[in-house]
Amino acid sequence: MDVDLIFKIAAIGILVSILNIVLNKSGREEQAMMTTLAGLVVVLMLVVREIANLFDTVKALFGF
Amino acid sequence: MVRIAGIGIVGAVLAVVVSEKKPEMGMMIGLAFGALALAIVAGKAGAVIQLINDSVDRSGIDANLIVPVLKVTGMAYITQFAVDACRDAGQNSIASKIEIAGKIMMLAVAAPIATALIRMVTTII
Repeated sequence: MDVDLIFKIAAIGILVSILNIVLNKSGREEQAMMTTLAGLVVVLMLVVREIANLFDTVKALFGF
Repeated sequence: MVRIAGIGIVGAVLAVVVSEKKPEMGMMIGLAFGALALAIVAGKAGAVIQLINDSVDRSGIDANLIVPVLKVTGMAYITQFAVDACRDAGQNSIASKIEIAGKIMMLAVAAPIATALIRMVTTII
């Protein structure tokens, strides 16, 4: 849960950048862009869940 | 504390590695670290808040007066987090808009205390 999330995001980032390079080299620019977009959305989902968790904690803590 | 420091170092190294190719992923790592670290710390802060509430209860101060103070503190934390995230992404204008919105909402929460003070002064006079 703790460091796992950061490792996960870093792994997705490296994977997506490698896929991006491979797809770009083989001349499929639009698929490379789609991969980048998909990776970004997946990571955004992970991060947004964690931020929502944080905001809920702060809200519960300070009695909103 | 040690855990947060360790996660921070690991996150910084990974962010540098990843943001060479994908700057947006580096930003995401920063954001994820911020959320994780603050969530860990928030659990500890709960005891302090409990202590403040207990002291206020025992001292006989009106409990309604301390609620806005805690609310403003929480809003300040949330605003600061969002502003820092936007600054990291290089969106300074969005960051300052969030700042202004946070200030206005804090003012709205704090206004009843100010009016209560004015009312108190007028009753004394």
